[in-house]
Amino acid sequence: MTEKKDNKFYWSAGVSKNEVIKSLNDNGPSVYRNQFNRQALVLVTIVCLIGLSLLFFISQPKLKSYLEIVFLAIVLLLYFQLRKSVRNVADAPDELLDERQISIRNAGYLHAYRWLSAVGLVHAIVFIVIFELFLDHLNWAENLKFSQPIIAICMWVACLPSMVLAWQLPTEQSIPEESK
Amino acid sequence: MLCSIYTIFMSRNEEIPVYNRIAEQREQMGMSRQQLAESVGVHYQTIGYLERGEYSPSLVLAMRISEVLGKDIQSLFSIQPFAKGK
Repeated sequence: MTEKKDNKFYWSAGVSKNEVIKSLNDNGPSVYRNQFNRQALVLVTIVCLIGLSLLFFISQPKLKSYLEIVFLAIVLLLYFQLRKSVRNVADAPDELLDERQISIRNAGYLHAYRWLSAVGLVHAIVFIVIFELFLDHLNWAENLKFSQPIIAICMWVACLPSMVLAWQLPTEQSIPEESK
Repeated sequence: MLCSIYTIFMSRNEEIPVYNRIAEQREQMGMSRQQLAESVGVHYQTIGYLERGEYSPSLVLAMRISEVLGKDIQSLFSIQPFAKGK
């Protein structure tokens, strides 16, 4: 009862206090304790995000809409799995983390920002240059508005901090061994 | 090429390692990592990282650990490896 009352939701981070505490203290087995599995999850997310961007080039509107819903649902699912895989460290506020967790989260954000700049640049080159060179008859500014590449970039922004941590963090020691 | 891009994006400065005797002292006192972690206010994994030398603590954390383990900070932490048996 008290726990429920004290459960603060951090709107800026998109996590609740209880959610973070529960995931940090979760000693049960999980496929995400292993770095290889987490890296596989990151790769699947990258493929899906690229796929979401490339839907832009599908010319049939109906097929495009269906695929967009499917890809977006998959990416959202992967986003929540990524958060879970790093025990919400990428999104948790300082007050719920210790100094090592804060330090790896901050370093993760630096790398995520670097990757984001690369992703943004690639998107700009691919979509704007292709429009300019090959699809000049279309108004690219009008076509890119609320389109799949823009949605994909928003999802890159949301996913990248967790993706970087999921990729970098080593395989966790077995729980009984670690807490001895 | 992909490797060099990866290196640029993921590069980190290598930290100077801080050697410690946390595990030795903790075991002597019969404490678990979980108990020590709770006493100093960190996650139990952080104690594991410290003991394996994979993370260098802040001065505040080092002082808290020294206090809980009842040792001087110099006898628990060093930037030189500890001599065996000392």
